[in-house]
Parts: sequence; structure tokens; C-alpha cells
Amino acid sequence: MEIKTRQIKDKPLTIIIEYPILDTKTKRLIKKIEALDFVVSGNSNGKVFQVHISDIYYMETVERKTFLYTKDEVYMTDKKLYEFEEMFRETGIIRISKSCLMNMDMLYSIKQLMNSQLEATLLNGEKLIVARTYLKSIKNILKEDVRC
Amino acid sequence: MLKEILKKTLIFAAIIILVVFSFSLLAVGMKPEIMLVFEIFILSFFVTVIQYFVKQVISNYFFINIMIEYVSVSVFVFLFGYFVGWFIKSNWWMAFVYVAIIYATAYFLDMAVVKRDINYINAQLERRRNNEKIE
Repeated sequence: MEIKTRQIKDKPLTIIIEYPILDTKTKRLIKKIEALDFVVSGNSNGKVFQVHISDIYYMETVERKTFLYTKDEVYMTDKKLYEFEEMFRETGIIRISKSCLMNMDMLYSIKQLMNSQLEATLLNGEKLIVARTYLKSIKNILKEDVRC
Repeated sequence: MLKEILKKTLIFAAIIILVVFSFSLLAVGMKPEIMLVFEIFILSFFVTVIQYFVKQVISNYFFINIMIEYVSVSVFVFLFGYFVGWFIKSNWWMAFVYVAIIYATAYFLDMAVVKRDINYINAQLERRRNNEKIE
């Protein structure tokens, strides 16, 4: 893969992707770039904010309400967790338990606790519980990364 | 790869047993040993269904999950075994012992597989971080 960059003043940021065939690798790359520009409306202290999907560390449902967690902020959103899961399937935002989606780009490490639970540590130090069922999907995403 | 080979071997063996005993059933009728094979297949089917539904319902707590699954499966094995005459009143507890042995083995195998997966994931995350540093 060849990466070329050039500065053109007074023009918006433009990304052109040239490919011989539209394979999985290319589709994932396109989705990743799209995700950088994708914003979700979030509510914090009564004010509405636009949150970039790439800034989200994880999303969680608590008592039927969905919360978006960035590095230091928490936003509430009207959307359901499964809607986000469908929207961002290709972007590295994956389900890690019944009530939580995690941004794979924010994952630092995973460990098994004494009680057999799995714990994910994020880049900001936050810890999340990972259900064993979803461990394979984390592994598969990283495997695809290796292949790319 | 070894897991895939073992899985295919077991499926293949199950199909062979099912076909051979089906022919025996047609040739000599329902003998006790033929019935036992079919009972095991029926039991396995229902245990798999129970495991599937238990997994849909329960939570992230692995140990609680495995205990709920163990109790559900044991109760089913006990009722099924009692119904088909595997257990009598004095040895009903055998169902719970059989299932416990199988679950303990599965638990330790699962621990080993999860440990391997975690090591792989952490190694890949480390590699990704190092690549980002170089870029």
C-alpha cells in the first residue's frame, strides 16, 4: 500500500482511495476513515454535543439508557446499543458483553481475573468486563489486522 | 487446527455410529444396546439446546454461568436418565457426578484456551502499539 499526502490550501480535507479490487481490507479502511468523520449526538448536563466516533472509548447501556464514554466525558444518547453495533460493525467497535460495546483502538490489554472473569483495560486506564463469548471476536479483529 | 481436526473426527464418529446402529435397528429391531445409543443422541441434543438457551439468558459472570448451566444440565440428565431407566432411586446422584466430571474437564480446557487467546490478543496489541510508535 502506498500513502501519498499533499497540502492544498483553502480546500477541505479530501481522501482519495485507489484500489485494484474492492476487497475486505479496502472496505475496512474506508469504514475506518468514515468513522473518523462520523459524529453522534450526545447529551451531557442538559447540553447536546457532537461526539466523534473515533473519540469514543466504549458505549454502555445502564437501565435502558445508552451512554458514550470518551477519554474524560460521559454522554447520554437516544440510540440503542444494537443500532451502534450495526452502524459501526466494520470500524472496530465491537460488542464485549450484553450491555457494552468497546472501541478496539482504545484497548490496551486483557487479563483473566481470579474469579474467571475477563477484564479489558483501556488506554485511559478504565476497566471493562468482557464476556467469554466475545473474546473470539476480539481475537478475530486482531487477526485480520495482522493479515492486512 | 488440532481443535478443528478433533471436532471433525468426533462429528464423523457420531455419524458412523448413527448410521451403523440405524442399520442394526432395521436388521434386528430395538435391542437395549441400540436403544442406549439413540438415548445418548437424544440426551446430547437436548443438553445442547439447554446450553444454547442458558447462554442467551445469563450474565458476564463466568462462574455463575457455569454453575447455572451445570445445575440445568444435571437436572435434565437426572430426569431423562430416570425416565429411560438409567438411574434408580438409590443411585439418582450419579447424574450429578457424571455431569460434574464432564464440566470440570470442560472448565479446565476452557481456561487453557482462554489463556492462549488472551496471550495472543495482548501480543497483537503490543505489536500494534510498537508499529504506531515507529510510524
